Formats: sequence, C-alpha cells, structure tokens
Amino acid sequence: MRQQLSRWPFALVVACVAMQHLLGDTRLGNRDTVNTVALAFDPCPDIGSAGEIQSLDRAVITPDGNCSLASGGYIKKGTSYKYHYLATVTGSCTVMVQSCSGWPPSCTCVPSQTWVRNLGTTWLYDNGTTSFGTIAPTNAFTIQSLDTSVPTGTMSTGVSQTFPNTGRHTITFNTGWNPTSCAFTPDTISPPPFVVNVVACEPKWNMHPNPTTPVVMHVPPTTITLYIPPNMWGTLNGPASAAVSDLNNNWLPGTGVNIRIDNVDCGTGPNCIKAGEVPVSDLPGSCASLDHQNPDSITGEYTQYTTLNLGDAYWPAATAYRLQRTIEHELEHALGLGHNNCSLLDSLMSVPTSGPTGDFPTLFAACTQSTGYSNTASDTDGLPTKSNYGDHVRSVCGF
Amino acid sequence: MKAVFGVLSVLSIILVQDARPTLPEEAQRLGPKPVYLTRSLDRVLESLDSVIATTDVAFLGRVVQINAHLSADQKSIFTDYSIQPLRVIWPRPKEAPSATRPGIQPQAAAYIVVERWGGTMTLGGVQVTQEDSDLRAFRQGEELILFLKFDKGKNKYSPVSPSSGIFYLERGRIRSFLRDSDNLPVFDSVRGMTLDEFDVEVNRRSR
Repeated sequence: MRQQLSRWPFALVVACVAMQHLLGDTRLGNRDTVNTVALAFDPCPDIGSAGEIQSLDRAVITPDGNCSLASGGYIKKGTSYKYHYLATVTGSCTVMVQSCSGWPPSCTCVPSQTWVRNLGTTWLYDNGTTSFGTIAPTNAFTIQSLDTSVPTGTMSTGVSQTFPNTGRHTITFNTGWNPTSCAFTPDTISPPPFVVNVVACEPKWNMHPNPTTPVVMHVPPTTITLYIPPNMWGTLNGPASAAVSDLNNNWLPGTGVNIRIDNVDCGTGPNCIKAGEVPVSDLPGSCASLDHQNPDSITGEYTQYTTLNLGDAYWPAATAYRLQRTIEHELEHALGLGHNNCSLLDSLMSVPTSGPTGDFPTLFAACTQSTGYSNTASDTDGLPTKSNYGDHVRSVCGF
Repeated sequence: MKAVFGVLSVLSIILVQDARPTLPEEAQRLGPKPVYLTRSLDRVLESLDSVIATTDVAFLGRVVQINAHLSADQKSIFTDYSIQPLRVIWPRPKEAPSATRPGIQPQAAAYIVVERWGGTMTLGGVQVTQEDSDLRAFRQGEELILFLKFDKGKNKYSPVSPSSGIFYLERGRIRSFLRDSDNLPVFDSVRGMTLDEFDVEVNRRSR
C-alpha cells in the first residue's frame, strides 16, 4: 500500500530523513510519531472513524448449559465451567496518500485503502497471571462480532475451566485485533475483570423479609461494636474475641466493616450489636438469635442497634468452641448471610438437626457441644462478605 | 468459700437478665413510622421422627382468623391463628383420645387455636411487626400442614417445631414452610410427596 505513495515529495523526504538522523531522531519508523512531530513527512494523516469495542459480555455456563453467572457470583468447586464471550468491535480506518499533478506539483490527499477494525485473539488469565485459554475467531481479519455461546463454525466455542479448590478468582480477558496499516489505538482492550467465587456449597443471604424489597440486610460498612455486658464478659469474651478475630483478619478487610468488642454499652445506633440473655421460651427450637430493627428497605442497612440473644438454658453450659460458633454465626447474619444447606463442617451458617437420626440427640446437645461442626468461617461464609459487601451479588451456578 | 460462690451465683442470676426494652417502648422510640423487627435464629432442625414423637395432632388446615398479642414481658408478639382442620393426618380419626395425645379429634371442632411467635400489631398508634427471617407469618386463607402440641396452661396449640413441623402443598406436593429449605437433608424423606403419600409415611413412622 505504501508503494502507492506519490513519488513527488520523495526527494524532500530523503532530505528530511537525513536531517532527522543528523539530529538524532530515529523515530521515523513510528508512523504516529512522524505524524505528530513532522507532518511534512506524511502530509496525509489516515482517517479513522471512532471505532471501539461496543459490548463485552462474559458468562459462566455449567455443563448442563443453563446457568449464566454474573461477575462476583458463586460456583461449585470441582465442576467444569465454560466462559463465553460476546464482543463487538466497530470502526474503520482509511489510509490516505498524496496525489500530485502538474508543475509545480499540486498535491491532495486521497483515500487509498480502507481497513475495518476486527477482532483478534482473546487471552484469558486467572488472577492476572496464569493464562488458561484463548478465544480466537477462526476467520481472522473480517470478524467484527463474536458470540462463543452461538457457534457458527467461524469462531471458538468458549473456554472451559475447572476449579478444584475453593477461593476467589479474578478472570481477565485481553482482546487484540489484527494488525492493519492504520494505527488503531489502543490495540488491545481489557474489559472489567470477571470475578468468580468458588465455594463448596451454596451461600444464602439474610434477605429483608418483605418480599417486595429483595435486599440483603447488613450492618453499615463502619466500625461495629459488639457489646458484652459485664455479667457475661467472663464467659463470652474469649469465644467472642476468637470469632471477631477470624472475621476481622480474614474476611472483613476491604469491606469497610471492622468489629471491636467492648463491655461498655454502645447505644442504639446501627453500629452497635448488644449481646444478652433471653429465656429459651423466646427462642423456640433455637440456641440464639440476632434481632434487628427497621432495616432500610432500599439499601438493606440496619438503621438501629442489633441484639445478639443467647438462650438462658444453653449458653452457660456451652463449650467455648460452641460459643465461638454461635457468636460468629450471628455476626455473619449481621454481615448479610442467611442459613444455608451446607454440611456442618462446610459452613458456619449451616443448620444442625436434632433427634435420634439427627446430628445431635437433643436441642440442648446441639446448642452446647463442641464436636461435629466448624467454628470458623469457610469460603462459603466469608467470600460473600469479602467479595461483595452490602447488597451482595447473589448469582449462583451449579448447586 | 461456698458461701462466696453462692452469693456470686445469686448475683449472677440477678445480673444476667433480659435487658431488652419492651415493644411498646420500642414503638415509642422508633415510631410513628411502622416498626419492623426481624429475627435470625441460630436454629436446630428436628428430624421428622423426632417431630412425630412429640406431636399431639397433625393435620391439614386453613387459616381463618389471625389475632396478635403481646407476651407477658411485652418483649415479643405472639399470634393466635384460628385454623379450620380439613384433613387429620395424625392420629387417625378412628383412634381414641388418650392422656398423652390430647389433641386427638380436631375435625370435630370448627377450628383450633395455634399460637406462634411473631406477628403484627399496633402499639401506641405505631404498627409493629416482629418476624422470623426464615419463617414468615401465616396468611388468611392459607392451607398448611401442622404438627402441633397442646399447651394445657394456655389452652392452645403451638407448632412442635417451628422450623421442622410446618409444611404446605405446592401443586399438590409437600414442601417445608421453612425458607430456602429445598435442599435440606432433614426433609429429603418427604419432600415432593403427595398428601396421601405423606399421610401414609407419617403414620408408618409413628408406629
């Protein structure tokens, strides 16, 4: 294409190149630089329309093909998932050349060749470093849109991945386009990362009971005080400190929430959780409860203090291990989690069963014993807080 | 030393008390807008066998009347639901009443009263709702399968297990009333049964 350049200014170009070299500027090969630094070398700037990637979409599809995950959602570990990609690119670029005639020559810029911007290969990275696959149109240089979930024979059909362990993964997509004689910038694009939380079992959220306001109830993202009254301090401070330490160190950094323990009443504001004792008759079929008042129906944030109620027949008889689970379970409610269907070892928010065929022989045993369940937050408990605090992303696949 | 421990124990019992404000106090503090109090319980489910073992009567019934009232300490709302029995599941209607199974023939009554924690009432001109986040209130006209025990002192029934002893029919199939309970193993044995199948299963287990 460059050969189509008119030769008239050739002598002038040669002279200027020699002068550039003498002056130490060796950037002639960079066409953009030449355009901006010395237009005289290339008086016909290419004309590019405003081309850009117009839409990008990613989805995670379970093997049965019927689940689309939103970024920040949750999938089950050990299952194969496929990333699909929807991309559309627009724009074109016309290479302009000089056309000269007459003597002295009269030159004008005329279109020489038009290039369309097209999609090249998309690279997928896990947590920014590990490339685990590519999506590439098989008919390069002509593809301006692709949707890997609708195979047409001209493109990839997505990239599969299996996560054997739980954890948070940030998937980045880096799409390039094929080189042209125009200087498209940028020459790659990376849409916002796609976050996948891999968990052992399905998390649930503590939803506002009003079905017309489907928001997650939670304490505001600020320093929260857990008040333990002096008469319960001796027994509860140790287990509560362990529970708070687990949350503060592992799951709350970056959320805006930090929990502290105090034996001075923290008042009636939404940053106060008051531990206390209530008759078990007030907690039918339960060890404890978390009571909250007037959660905001739009944001889900608590607007008043919260009470953490411990059944009077249970907590004095409970082991420190069980008390830690109880307190951390209730604090997880305050952070927005609800009860789930996980096993007792997979999640703090699971629900034990009592009875001859249950996890524990009696309600009393379930509320006081140490064995049979975890007492620290798992990925299923912590990632929903750490990843999306507030009115959480609740998209799930594969459970 | 024992005396010191004794005094400390008494002091502890005196000091460790329910310090929550009453609901009328909360209504006054938070009103005049409606007050919404939600409760997330650290609950323990009961197996169906365990539920049946302590059940006085189980039946399918329709909610016909709803009346909320305050507890004696005014810190909780309880609601009396008048339930019209439609079909008795346990014990079989032909079986005779006994001292240990007092609620034996609800079909003979126009309705029976079932008391549950939570509800909505007006306190000092302020509407106050107290609700379990996993167990909503019953609705007027709703049909439910209830496993109940009789409280002689109150002369009312109450659910044997608020979490495990309440079911309903969805498109003719049994589902637990507990929110998000579709995958809980404790309900595996009866989930999806028809009412007839459920009736047979409950009576088989009760033998």
